[in-house]
Amino acid sequence: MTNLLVTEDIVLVENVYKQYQMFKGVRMRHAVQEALKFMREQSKRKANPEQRFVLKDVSFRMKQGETLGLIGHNGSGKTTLMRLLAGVSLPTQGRIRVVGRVQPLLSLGAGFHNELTGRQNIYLNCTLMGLDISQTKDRIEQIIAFADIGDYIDVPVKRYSSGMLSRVGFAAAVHMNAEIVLIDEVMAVGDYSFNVKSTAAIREYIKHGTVVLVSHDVNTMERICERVIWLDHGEVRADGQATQVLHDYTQSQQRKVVAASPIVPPPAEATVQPTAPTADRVMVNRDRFDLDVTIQKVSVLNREGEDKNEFAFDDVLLIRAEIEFAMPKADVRITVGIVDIDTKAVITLCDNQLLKSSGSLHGRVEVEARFPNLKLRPRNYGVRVGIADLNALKPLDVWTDVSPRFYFTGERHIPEQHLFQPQIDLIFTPGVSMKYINSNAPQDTAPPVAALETSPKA
Amino acid sequence: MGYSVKHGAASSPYIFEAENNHLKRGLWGHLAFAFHYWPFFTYWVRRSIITRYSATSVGLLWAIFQPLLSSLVYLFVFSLVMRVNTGTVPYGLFIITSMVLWTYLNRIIFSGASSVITNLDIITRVRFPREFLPLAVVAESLVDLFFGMIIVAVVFVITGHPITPYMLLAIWPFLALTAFALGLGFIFAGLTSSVRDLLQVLPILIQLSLYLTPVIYPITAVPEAVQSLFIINPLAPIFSAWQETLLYGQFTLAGPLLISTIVSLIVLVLGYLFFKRSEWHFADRL
Repeated sequence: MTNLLVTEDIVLVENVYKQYQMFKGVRMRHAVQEALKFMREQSKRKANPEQRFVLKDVSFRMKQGETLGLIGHNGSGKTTLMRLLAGVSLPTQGRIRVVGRVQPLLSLGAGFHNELTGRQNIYLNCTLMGLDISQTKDRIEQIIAFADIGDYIDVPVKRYSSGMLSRVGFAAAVHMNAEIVLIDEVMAVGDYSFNVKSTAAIREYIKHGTVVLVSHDVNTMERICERVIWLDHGEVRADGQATQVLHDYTQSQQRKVVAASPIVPPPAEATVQPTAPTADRVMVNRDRFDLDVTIQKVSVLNREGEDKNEFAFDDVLLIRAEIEFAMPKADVRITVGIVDIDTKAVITLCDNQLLKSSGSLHGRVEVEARFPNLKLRPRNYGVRVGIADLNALKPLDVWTDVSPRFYFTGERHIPEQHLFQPQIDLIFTPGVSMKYINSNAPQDTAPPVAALETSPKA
Repeated sequence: MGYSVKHGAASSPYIFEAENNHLKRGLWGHLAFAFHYWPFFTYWVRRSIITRYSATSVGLLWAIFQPLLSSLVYLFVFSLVMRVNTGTVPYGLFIITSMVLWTYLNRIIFSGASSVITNLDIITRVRFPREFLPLAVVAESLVDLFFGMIIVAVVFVITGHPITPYMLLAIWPFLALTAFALGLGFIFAGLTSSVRDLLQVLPILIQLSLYLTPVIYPITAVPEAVQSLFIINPLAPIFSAWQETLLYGQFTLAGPLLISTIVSLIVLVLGYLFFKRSEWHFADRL
């Protein structure tokens, strides 16, 4: 009998649809009016076959001890699915079967009452989770020891600090030994020492119990879950081995983000109106200091010189900038950088050669920076191009893509040490070169194709 | 460490099985599930009582003063201004005895209805028998009633009111009233998810029904022709029987009271089933 139960699915979700009723309730004050309105809407909705489902045909099973991750954008139905699993909401269609007690680890201290002491609240919380008196008494001392807040345990919780409250709430939650635990974002609780303890407790749970984890943190999820379900607008887009699903998910997110930030052409009147508001190019930050120097366009290209925003792990990346010098300028330095959107770290490349050149730049100048085989982490990157006057030691024009401009795809399992890890304003970039092309500047020392030495950006 | 699933997985009440907007569980299933959470109920009631009567709150005083104050108002209106004839019993004694029971009813219906809204944080997160919330209100109200009855007993002793064996029969109208009030509490609690301003309207409805029920006046003050209509109100025989047994030392309303009791039980069962049906709207709509 018990052996049968072990092999049984502990969670069964079969073709589940969930639709929140449009009917949000009436007010007695306008009872007749609202009832009529509701009936009208009802009949209209019947005529309209397109209904909004929060969950659409979701099916999966979980075995005892499995750890499942749920991932998806905001509003993809993760919370609704968690509510169905917690048993506080019913599926509009389809079947759900959950065997055992479900402990939601979403909000610690739910149901705590201010006037009661910590100990009384723990008793209440344990029984709320369906434990009987003897089971509660068995673990109350463990919980108190875990929370470790000393004499405060017999003080009404209204005198607690928020840290103490979450300690008690967490301690109670992890000692329930529920068959299924729902975790919404693995949270850090309390100070450092408690944090270590709570993380260890969650690990222990994950090792032995059946866990459903909702998170936006792909890295955490990959560490913890064997299996991940990707929800997209209420539908299961992928269900399978964590690494694969998370990889697909990240790629799709990156693609979406880059597609959403169009390459903004700089307005032509920028040279005339230097102080013109830059609101129309939300994605690009411009800091203009000299009206005579304008960065016209920055493009990200592949090896063949085609516009691209998706690069393989070890692809060659070219960044080309078009700069307009209205007046001849000498002693300028141009820097081209790659900005890590997440960490704001920049890999900068600059043309030291021009330091030595006496010639001046005039008219349209194109600069191309070449980044071969950077081995950057697969994620989104932006671009920064800057021009500075070396004599006056001041910048002339700076162009920064603060939104993602391109991204690297690639295996997620590259050992850390093989990855290029940019630091803030990192300057040493081996094997990177920079050249001037198509320059109609009247200078004579423009290096045609020179692998420039890299040096500090200033 | 006990990360086993022995006790939980094998015991059926913890299985949650739902299909096509229906929980696969009948009336007995609900009751069995509730039975498993009985320890929670006892702690929940204890919690409510502690918080209501804790030293920092004026709960106990309020429990006594609420019926006492309204009694004083009605005493002024009906014994000095309007002169209601309460027979051999002084009006003051009459009104305090009735008012204690009315406060009990009032509290079960209103606090029972609002218990869902006030405990929304656990309702939307954890599965437990939600019927315990209105039920716990009954337990709390019993404590209030107990203190109220002490006041009544004190007044009886001071005025030298005769103690009769009929007083024991007062338990019957009391039980019928409890069933009726709890049933209504269930119904109104279930309605709070669809009628949003119910909690604002409810006190007015309760106040109106006070005047339609022989609480602040005896049923004998009502003209004979209308009295038969009063039997339609299931509360009328209950309150009349309460007053008869405690104040007049007689019991003449067994028939109407029996009908009231049956109606009350029907209201209780239907109210419970309605509540169990609408409890799923709480997390979805509120």
